[in-house]
Amino acid sequence: MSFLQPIALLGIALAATPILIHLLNLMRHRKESWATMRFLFQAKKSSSRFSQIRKWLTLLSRVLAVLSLVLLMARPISTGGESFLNLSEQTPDIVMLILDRSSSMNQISSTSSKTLLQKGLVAFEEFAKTWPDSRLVVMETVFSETIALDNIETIYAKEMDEFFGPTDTGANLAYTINQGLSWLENAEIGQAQILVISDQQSSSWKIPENKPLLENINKNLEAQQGAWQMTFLKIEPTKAVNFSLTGKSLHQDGGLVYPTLSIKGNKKEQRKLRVDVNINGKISPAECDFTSPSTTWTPAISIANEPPTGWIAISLPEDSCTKDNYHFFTYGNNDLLRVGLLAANQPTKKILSVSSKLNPNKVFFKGELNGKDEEMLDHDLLFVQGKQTNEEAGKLLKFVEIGGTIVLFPDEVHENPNATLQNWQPLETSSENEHFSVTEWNKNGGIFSNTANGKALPFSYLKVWQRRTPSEGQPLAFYADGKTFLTRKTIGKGIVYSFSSLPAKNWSSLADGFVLVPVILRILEECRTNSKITEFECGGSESRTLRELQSLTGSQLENPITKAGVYQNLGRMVAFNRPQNEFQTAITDKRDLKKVLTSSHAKWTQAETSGASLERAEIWNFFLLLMVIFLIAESLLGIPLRKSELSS
Amino acid sequence: MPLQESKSFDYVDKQAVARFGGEAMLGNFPMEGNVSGHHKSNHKGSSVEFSEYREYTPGEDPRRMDWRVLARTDRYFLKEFEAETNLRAYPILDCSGSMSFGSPMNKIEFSKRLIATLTYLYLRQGDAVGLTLIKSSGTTDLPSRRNPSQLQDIIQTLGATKAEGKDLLINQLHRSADSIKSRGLVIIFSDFLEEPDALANAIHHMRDRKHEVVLFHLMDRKEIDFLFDRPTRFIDLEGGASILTEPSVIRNEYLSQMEKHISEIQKICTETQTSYHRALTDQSVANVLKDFSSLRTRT
Repeated sequence: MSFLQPIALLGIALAATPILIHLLNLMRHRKESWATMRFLFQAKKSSSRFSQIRKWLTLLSRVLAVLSLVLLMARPISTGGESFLNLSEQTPDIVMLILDRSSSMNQISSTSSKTLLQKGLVAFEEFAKTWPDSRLVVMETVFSETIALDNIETIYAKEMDEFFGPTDTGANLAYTINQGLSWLENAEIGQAQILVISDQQSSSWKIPENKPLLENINKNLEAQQGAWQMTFLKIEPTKAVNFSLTGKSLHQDGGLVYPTLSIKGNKKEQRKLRVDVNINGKISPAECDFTSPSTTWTPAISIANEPPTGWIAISLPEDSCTKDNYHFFTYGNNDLLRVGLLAANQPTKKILSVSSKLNPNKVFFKGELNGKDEEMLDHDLLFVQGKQTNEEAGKLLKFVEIGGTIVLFPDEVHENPNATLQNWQPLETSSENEHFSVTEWNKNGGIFSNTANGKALPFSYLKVWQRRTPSEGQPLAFYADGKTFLTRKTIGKGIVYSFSSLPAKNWSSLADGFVLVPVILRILEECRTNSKITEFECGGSESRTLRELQSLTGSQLENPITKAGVYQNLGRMVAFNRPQNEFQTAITDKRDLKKVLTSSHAKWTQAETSGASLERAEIWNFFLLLMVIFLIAESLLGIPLRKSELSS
Repeated sequence: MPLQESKSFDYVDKQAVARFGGEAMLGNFPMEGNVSGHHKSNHKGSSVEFSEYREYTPGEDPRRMDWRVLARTDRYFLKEFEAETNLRAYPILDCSGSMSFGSPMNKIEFSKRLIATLTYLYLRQGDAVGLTLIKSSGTTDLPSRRNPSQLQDIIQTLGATKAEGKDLLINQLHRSADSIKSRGLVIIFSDFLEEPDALANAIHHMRDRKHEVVLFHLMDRKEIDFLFDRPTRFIDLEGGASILTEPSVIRNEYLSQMEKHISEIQKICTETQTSYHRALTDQSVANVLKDFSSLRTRT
C-alpha cells in the first residue's frame, strides 16, 4: 500500500489526540471530599474488569477512527495483488515499467499540466513505492532495452532524459512487452510486477499485425501462474484545443516548393490558422484556412533566393501537444530516381521508356531489366508487365516490401501472372464499336488529382477495349460499370499501382499518353518525394543505422532516434519526422485488446481524474468504512450497561 | 458550620415544632421513667387504663385491693392499672469526619437541627432528654434531664461540635447500651458507613438492654445520585485516602453498592424492631420528622 498524498500521513500524530484528551481530562480532574469512600473503592474494584476494558476499547476506537480518517485523507492505493487484504502476496523480485514513449504521450493529461509521459512516471513512482525492497527495471518503447534503476528518483534525473524524456517516435507496445517478458524469463525472475503505461493509441498496439506477439505475452503470463502480474494503466489526454500537422509530400517546381500538409484539429471549427514556415532557419509567417476535422494545405513556398538544397520546417502555434505541431522537409536533393522496366509488350515498353525519360534531371531510367538481375533491388520504381517466374515474383515482392514502388500492367495472355502482387480478373473485351470509359476518379488528391490550375485529367478521351481489372488494393479510378481502372496497394513499406489495361493499340488508347504520361510523371514525383532517402521516420530503422548524423534544426547532441528534425549525413540533408501513424488519434478499445490478452494476471486500470494514481487501486473507501465502523463501535461502547451486565 | 451562640436556638426548627407540637410523641416500647408521663411503663400503676386482676399476696399495698370483689366473693384481689411514665430520650450523634459532607448543609449540621427540634418537642411533653456525642477525641455525654434548661445545654453542646476524625460509632454504641441504665429511646444520627454486621451487633445490644432504637440515616443528594461529568479525585473525609476515577464509568456499580448497603441496614432494622429514617441534607427538618412523628402519635 502507498499513498497519493503522503504529506497527509503527518496527520497520524492526530491519532494520539484522543489519548491526549484522555490524559488532559485526568490531569484536569476536580477534587471532591467524599464520605462514602468505601463504596467508591468497591465500585472501582468491581467495575475494573469490564468497565476498564470498555474504557480502553472506547479510547482505542477513537484512536483508530482518527487514524482511519488520516489514512483516508492520504488517499491510499493498493497496487499489488488481487485484493488489498491479500496477505499472502509476496514481494516481487522485480518491479518493471513498460513505458510508451511515443510522440502522443507528450499530450497534456486530462487532469494536470503534466504530459502523459510525466504523469506516467509519477504513477510508476507510486506503483513502485508499494514494494520498496524490489529491484526496479524499465523498458521503454524507443530502445526496448532493460534499464535497471538504483532508486526510483532516477527516472526524474536530467541525464536520464534519453530514456525517459519526450520523443517524436512511434511505439510498438506488444514488441516491447515481449522483450520485457523475455528479459524476465532469461533473468529467471520469480515474482514480478509489471506496469504498462500508455495512452493506448491504436498505432502503439496494431492488434491485427501484432496478434502473434500478444498471444505470446498471454502465454508467458499464464505460464507463470500469477508470479508475474501485469497492470495496464491508461492515461487520458486533455480535450483542450490541439492541432496536429503532418507532411504528405513535397513537390518542387523551379523556384517554388509545394509541400502537401495535412492539419487536424480536435475541435469543430473553421478558422484561420497561423503557420510558421522556416526555410533554412529563416522564419516567415503564413496563414491557413482550417476547416475541422482536417484540412489538406499545399502552400507555395519560394526558394528562389535559397541554396539549391536546403530544408523547410512547417510549424503550428503551441497548443496542448507541441510534439505534433511541426514537420520537416528537405528540398533540392540531387539524388536521381532510379527507374527500371520489366515488360513483355513492346508498345508498353516504348511508352513507359519515353515517359520515364521526360525528366532526366530527376529520373534515371536504367532501362530494361532481366528478371534474374540482382540489381532489381537497387531501383526505386519498376514498371512491370507480363508473367514472371516464381523467382522473379519473390524478388519483386521483396522489392516492394522494403519500400519500392511497382507500376503493374496486366499480361496479354496469362490470366493471373503476378499473383503475389495482384489478383487479376478474367480478360474482358468490349463489344464492337463500343469501349470501356473511365468516369470516376479521385480529383482531389493522389496521382489523378486535378492540376494546380484546377484542370482535370482528360479521361473522357480514354478508350479501353480490353481490360483485366485488378481486385486488390484501393481503387483510385472506376469505369462507368463500376469496375476498377486502377488500384493502389500497400505491401510492407512499398506501393503497387495496378492498371487494368495495356498501352497497346488493341487494348486501349493509353498509348496516346494524355492520361498515362501525366499519371506516370506523378507516380515518379511521388516516388521521389516519398523516397526514403529524403525523409525517414524518427526512431525508425534508418535513424538507428545511418551514421554521422548531425542535427541542422536542433542541438548537435540530438539524434534522430528520438528527436524529429533535419540531419546532415555525409553532406546530404535528411528529414526525420514523427511516424505517420502517430497522426492517427484513434484509441485502442480495451475490449479488443482483452480478446487477445485474456490472462487473468493482466489487470486494466485508468489514471484517476486528479493526480496520477491508479483509479481502481485507490482504497480510500475501505478506510471510510473502517472509520464509520470505529465510530459506531465507540458509540455502542458509550451506551450504559444494564444491571445484569454490570453484575457479571 | 456551627451557629453562633446568639443564634443557637435556630437549631430548633420552628416549622417542625408548629407541625408536631400539638400531639405527644410516644415510645413504641414500655419505658422506665421516674415521673408520670405519656408513655407506657413496664410497671403497673394507677392510671385510668385497666390492666388486670391479680390475687393479693400478703405484704402488698392493701390500698390497691378491690374491695367490691372482696365483698362479693370473700377473696382478696388486686385491681391493676397501666402505669404511664415519662421517657428518657438519648440522641447519639456520630461526629466522625464523614458527617462533615453535604450541601446545602452538611450532615452534622442537619443532625444538630433534628436533635435540637426533637429535644424541644420531648422536653415540652415532660420527657427527659440527654445527649451523646461520639467524637474521635472522646465521647461527650449529657445525662438525661427533664429540666427545660436542658434544651439550652444540649444546643450549646451541639453548637460547639464539629465533625472530624475517625468513625468510632460501633464501639460507642456498645458502651452506651451498657451505660444507659433504664429503658430509653436511643436515637442515633449517623451516615452509618460501618460494616452492616457490626452495626447489627450494636443494635442487638441496644435492644437486649430493652432500649427502643431509632436510626436517622444522614445522606446527601450527591451520594445518592453520584452525578459527575468529568474525572474526579475523591478524598476520604476520614482518612485522607484518595481515589482518581471516571465517575461515569463506576456510577452504576457505586449506586448498586450503595443501595445494597442501605437495604442491609433496613433489614437489620426490621429484624430488631428498630425504626429507620432516611434524612437527606437538602430536605426540611419537618419533612424528615414527619414519618418519625406519625408513627408515634395516638391519632
